[in-house]
Amino acid sequence: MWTSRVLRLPRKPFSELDYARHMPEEYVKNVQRVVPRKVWGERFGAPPIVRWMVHPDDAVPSSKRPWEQDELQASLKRQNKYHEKKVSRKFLELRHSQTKQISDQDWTFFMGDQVEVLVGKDKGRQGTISRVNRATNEVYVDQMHAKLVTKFSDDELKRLGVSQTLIWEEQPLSVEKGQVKLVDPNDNQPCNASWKLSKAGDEWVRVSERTGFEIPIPTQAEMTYDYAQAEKYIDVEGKDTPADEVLRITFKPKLMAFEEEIMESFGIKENRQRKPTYWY
Amino acid sequence: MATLIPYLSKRGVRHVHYLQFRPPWPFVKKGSYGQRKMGPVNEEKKKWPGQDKEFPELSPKFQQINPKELHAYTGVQMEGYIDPNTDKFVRIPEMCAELIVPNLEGFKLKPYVSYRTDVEIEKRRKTYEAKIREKGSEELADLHTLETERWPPPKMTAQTLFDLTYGEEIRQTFKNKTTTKKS
Repeated sequence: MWTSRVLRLPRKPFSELDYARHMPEEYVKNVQRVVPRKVWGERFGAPPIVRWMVHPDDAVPSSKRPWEQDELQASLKRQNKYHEKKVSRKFLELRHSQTKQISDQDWTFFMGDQVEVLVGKDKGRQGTISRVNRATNEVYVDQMHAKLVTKFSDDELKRLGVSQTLIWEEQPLSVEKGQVKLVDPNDNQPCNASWKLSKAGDEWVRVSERTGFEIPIPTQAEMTYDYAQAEKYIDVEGKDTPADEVLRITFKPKLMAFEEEIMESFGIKENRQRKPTYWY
Repeated sequence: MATLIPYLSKRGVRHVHYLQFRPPWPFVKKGSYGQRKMGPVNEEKKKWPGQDKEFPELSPKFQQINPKELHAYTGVQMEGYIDPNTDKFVRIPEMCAELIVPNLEGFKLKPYVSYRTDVEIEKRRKTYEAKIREKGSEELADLHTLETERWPPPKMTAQTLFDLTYGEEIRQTFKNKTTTKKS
């Protein structure tokens, strides 16, 4: 049977692993301001004309999450600029994103993985991935490839009367450009990895291309905003329905119409006989 | 002072000024650029709902010109009627809205679903798929797993409903027939 064959195909759970996977898509779109400002519809079958807050072609994937302060400011600024140009009937060139997201099948980097940095002052050092950004194909390695930055400008510091403080901020490392590589746990050397079907044929495993050894996915990879591990998630009292309650089947099949069931629950008795219906 | 000429008239007489001689309908010039054009202006603001007395019955501004029935219009169904003889409001209990709220005591569902549900589903799916692989087909695997332990859960089809309701009866009659034939 076709469906059963599909069922027997191993699924790819790694494609869903993301720190922000429970973030509602609508919220993300709203924060990126990729929402229609006005839709001119009812055009007698012609597609509606949409005036966007920020045009979808204009939403550029960023290293930071779109709901972070700086990114939000940037997208709001872009939105204002776009509408200034629209009002004054001038042309605003849309920036088209140059980076293309690597497909799920080819992506092998996850949070908590051991990687080796291949560029910069930390070249040759190994560390763990602290953050993954699929949209830009970038990875942040814990305490590696960091830069000294100040959070305040000189004017602001003078105004507040505070001395300058510098902090180390990790910079993204591009996977596409080969700035990081996974570490093979077998010999602790950098390697290229790919997804292969396991011998039993029921699971996709990440395998080092050089040695053929499996690189297991760390448990940290399934961490999200809501939990570190799904198994250890603690239900919120009074808000979360427990799993066994959700999955309980309460439906009891009865040979009854909906109206008849309601009548039964209210104790209404019907003496008239329903006439038989025939389907041909 | 010269700028106020159009607005302040002396002796109640119009000055020879274009603002004193307004056309009977509004001409709107589109801007100071391009060819001189008169015509409708496309204003973004006016495209939003609620412009140009779009909902007059909702705006107190237009109460005077509204029909009398709509003077106190709130969009809410009246709980009675105004007696034309006495001009007094008569409340009818049958017309009052009655909120019937279900009693949620002992009701275990909450507004959100626990993240552990995904884990449980994944566990069930894995065991079921393993069973399919072991037995070779879905039908055989169904026989060896509990209905509540299966994921995806079994579909309620017309055939299952038929089997559950009439199946036993038909089986019994068939059995009886065969036994009566033999004897």
